[in-house]
Amino acid sequence: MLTSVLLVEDDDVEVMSVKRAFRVMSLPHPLVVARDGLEALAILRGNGESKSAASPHLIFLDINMPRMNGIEFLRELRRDPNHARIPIVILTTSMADADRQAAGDAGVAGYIIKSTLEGGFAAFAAAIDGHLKKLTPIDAP
Amino acid sequence: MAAILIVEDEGIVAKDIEMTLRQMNYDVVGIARSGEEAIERATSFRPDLVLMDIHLKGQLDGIATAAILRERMDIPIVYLTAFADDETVGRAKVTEPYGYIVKPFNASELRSVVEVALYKHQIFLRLRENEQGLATTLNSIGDGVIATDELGRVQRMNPAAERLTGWTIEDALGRPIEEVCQFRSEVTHMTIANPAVSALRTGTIVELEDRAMLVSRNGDECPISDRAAPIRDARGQIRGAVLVFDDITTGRKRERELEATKLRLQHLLTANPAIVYTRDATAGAQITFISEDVKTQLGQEPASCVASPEFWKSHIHPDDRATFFDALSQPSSDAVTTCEYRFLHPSGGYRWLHDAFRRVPNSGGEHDEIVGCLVDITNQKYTEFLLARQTRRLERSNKELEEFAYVASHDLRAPLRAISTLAEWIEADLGDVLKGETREQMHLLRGRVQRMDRLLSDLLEYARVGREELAVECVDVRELLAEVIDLSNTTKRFRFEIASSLPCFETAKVPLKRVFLNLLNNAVKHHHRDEGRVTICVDDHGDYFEFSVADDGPGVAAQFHERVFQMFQTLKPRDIVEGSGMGLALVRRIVDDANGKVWLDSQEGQGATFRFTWPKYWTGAPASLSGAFSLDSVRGLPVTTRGG
Repeated sequence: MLTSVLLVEDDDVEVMSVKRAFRVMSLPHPLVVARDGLEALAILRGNGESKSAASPHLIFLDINMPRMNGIEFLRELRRDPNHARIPIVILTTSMADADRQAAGDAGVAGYIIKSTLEGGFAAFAAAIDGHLKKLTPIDAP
Repeated sequence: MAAILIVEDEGIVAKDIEMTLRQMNYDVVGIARSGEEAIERATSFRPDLVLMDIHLKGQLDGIATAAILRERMDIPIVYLTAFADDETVGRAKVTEPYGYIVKPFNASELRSVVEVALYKHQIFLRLRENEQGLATTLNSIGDGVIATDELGRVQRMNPAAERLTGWTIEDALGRPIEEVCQFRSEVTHMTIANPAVSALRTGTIVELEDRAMLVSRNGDECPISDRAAPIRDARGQIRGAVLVFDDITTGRKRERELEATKLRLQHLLTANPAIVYTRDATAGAQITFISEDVKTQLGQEPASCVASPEFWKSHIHPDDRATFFDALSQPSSDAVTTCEYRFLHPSGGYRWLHDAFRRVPNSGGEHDEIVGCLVDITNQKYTEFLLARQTRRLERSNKELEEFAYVASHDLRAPLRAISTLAEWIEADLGDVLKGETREQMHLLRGRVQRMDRLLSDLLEYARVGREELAVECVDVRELLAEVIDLSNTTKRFRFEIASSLPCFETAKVPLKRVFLNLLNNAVKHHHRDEGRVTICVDDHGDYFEFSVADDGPGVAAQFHERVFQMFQTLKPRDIVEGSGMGLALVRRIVDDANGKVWLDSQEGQGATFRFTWPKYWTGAPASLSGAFSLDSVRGLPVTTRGG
């Protein structure tokens, strides 16, 4: 089975960015999208609409989201014994110290800052690709 | 039984006297026939009385013998004589005999003379004893005592009087008291009437006036207290005067010191802005003294303040009374107790007072005292209030700035990034379909988005200056410049000339680096040619360094020297020289924050030299304003920068 990925992100363009990065980099991994922390929890715990990605191998997590933000989700997840060990890469525009501190405390696997336009989309796609390759051995197709 | 020695060279007469005396129950201790024998017997037997014949055979006659006996043994003498011529009586008188018996005499005559002589001698001895006791007393006391006769002539003086006046009794005896004892006023230096003379005249006790000085025989003066009294005999007649005086140098000195201390204290009280007071350390806490300043400072009469215990309490602001009583209930003698309260001014307003006091044990007995001082701190309180309000406003505006910065960094940039991303995708997806003007427009669209993003990012950086916690480290300016030149990656060919001697000092590296980076970028970006020269120098001005960054670019006209440091100001259209117009504004803000100055020396066409000063000793940003933003990266996290 292919390594599956959960993307927690409320912005349509950001979701498109990740999907486009997958396409451009030819990443075959199934990608499930949750629009906020609550929806992501529902999916993980199998009480959401879709049950197909109940156990993702990697989560890309935005911080600023409605209802339950990324940091709250992160803390909730670390308390959940079934999902506490899933690697998480923060995908954010936030430079705020508090967010970085909170993410660091929760032990995230990576931190992608979408703060500058330099490097363009290609750099972003490469970062997504790098995290997937580094953190999850891809099964032979 | 009295012992009597008979000195008589006529045996029969002597025997007769002896017999008569024995019959009268006197003890006759012997009969001497010559002066020499008389002295020998008297020395052995110590008789109470000697009956002495004036005419004796031998070297010594009766009178000479009597004189020796009196002198050596103080034995009373009664002379026996057959005749009494004037010359003999005259000689005999000098030896102060107790009586004469003229021969021949009968028994009763003898008896009465002997008895009277013995009695008189007893009286004499008693008187002498009294006299000696009195003299001892006078000689022992510390006060000077001088007695005069009724004419004011010195009769006796004790050693203390001799010491104080410088006169001995031998020299002073019989001299007028005014000569021996001269008094002078300490104030007027005039001679003061001698109280002994006054006492003789008025017959009353006379005191010397205050601040009198005794002038001694050699002219020395010493402060003295003195009184004189008349001496009256049994009938009330004035027979003389006695003068008693004492050296009061020590007392007078202490008095003077006390006066000086008092003056000093008074001066301190009036010269001091504080109001000083004392109050009873009792439940009433009545004010017992308060300095005059209370009138000018608090508009209250000192007399009203000490009138009743209620006065002070009733003028304290009702909300502050508890504080005041609380402090007052526990004054310590080891430490100062303080409290602050509002005090009603007659104008109707309240003044803030700082009250500092301590308990002072009252050695006088009654009860302890509280000694304190009041300072009007109304102005200080008002300043504190203004400061607190200012601080609150500043905190609020800081918070707003933080929120603004967050909005700018996230909410405003997110849609920008989306626009940029989408434009990039459209451009990529359309591929060759995009041609000519459309392609150019797409390019402009992305350029404008990037410019907006840079503006926001520079604005954010500008807002952060002075709000970061800056690490202070030893900065080698040469190394720092090497890094900066590396960073200001230029496609143009520029030569950077760096002064041979550059400092290495303790300062905050990040802001200094930003200043150099912006100045170098500025020099390169605005150069009119593709190659140029930038010279970096430093001057040591003691407390600070003055750095200069000089280029050989187009220069800046004098009228723009101020404008270049303002936010969003550019001298050329952004389409020609891309820039936010924030670089130099940022430089000024950073240098300001470091307590330095930055300015521009330039003329059009002759290059530009930016100079700035930087303190040698970093004082740092105020802690309350820092810490909101830190650029420290999260430890151990891989950080990737993503473009849209």
